[in-house]
Amino acid sequence: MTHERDTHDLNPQDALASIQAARSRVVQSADYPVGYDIAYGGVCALLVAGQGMPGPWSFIVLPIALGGLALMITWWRKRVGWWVNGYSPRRARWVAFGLAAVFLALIGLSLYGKYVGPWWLFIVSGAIGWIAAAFAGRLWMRVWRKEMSEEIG
Amino acid sequence: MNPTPIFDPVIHAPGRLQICAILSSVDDAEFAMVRDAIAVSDSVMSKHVKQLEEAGYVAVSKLAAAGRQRTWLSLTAAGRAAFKAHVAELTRLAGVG
Repeated sequence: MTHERDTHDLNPQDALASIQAARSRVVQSADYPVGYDIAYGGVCALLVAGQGMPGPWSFIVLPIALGGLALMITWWRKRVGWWVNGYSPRRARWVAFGLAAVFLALIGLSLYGKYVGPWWLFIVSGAIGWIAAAFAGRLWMRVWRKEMSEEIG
Repeated sequence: MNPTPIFDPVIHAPGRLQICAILSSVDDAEFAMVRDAIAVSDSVMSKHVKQLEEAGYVAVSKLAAAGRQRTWLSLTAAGRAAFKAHVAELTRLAGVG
C-alpha cells in the first residue's frame, strides 16, 4: 500500500501532489451549517454591543459572549478534528484583521452612544457586528480554501 | 522570505510528508482525523508520529473530551521550518515555482 511505504522513493512531482492531496482532504472537511455563522455573528454582536449597554448588562454579556465563543470552538474541533486560528493563515488573516478593525470601530460607536448618546447606538453596532461577522466568517473560509489549494509550503 | 531548500529524509517518507502537509495547514489536528485523511492504520500512524516527535517536528497532547481522551498533534516551530525548507527543495527539484 502506497501510504505505508517508509522509503524515500517519492519523486518531487509526486511528493508535491501528495501534499496538495492531503491538504485538500482538510479543506473538504471544513463544511459547516449556516447556523454556525449566525451563532458567530451573535457572539460578536454581544461583544461589540455589550460595551454600550447600560448598567450591569455591559459586564453580564461579556462572559456570555466569551463562553459562547468557547463552545463554538469546542463544537468545531469535535466536528472536523482540527483547528486553525483566524490570524494564522498568511492570506486569510487579512480578513480577520479587517473584521477586527470593524469591531474596534463598532465598539467605539457603542461607547459613543453610552457616553454621548443616543443610548440605542449599541443596538445599531450590534446589528452591524452580527452581519459583518457572519459575512466575514464565510469570506475568511473562502480565502483560506483558495490559499490552501494554491500554496504548497 | 523564502526558506533555504533543504531535503529532509524524516519528512520525505510518504506518510510523514502528508502528516506534515495537513499539520502545516492548521494549528492542530486530532490523531484520528489525520490517520483517516492519509488512510493508514493506527500503528503505522503512531510510528510516523513517533518519528516526527523524536525529530522535534511534532508536538503531541492528550485532551479529555466527553469522557474520552483524544490525541492532538501540532507542528512545532522547528517542524514548520523544516517542512517549508523541504517543500522548497521539492519545488526546486521539480522545477516549478
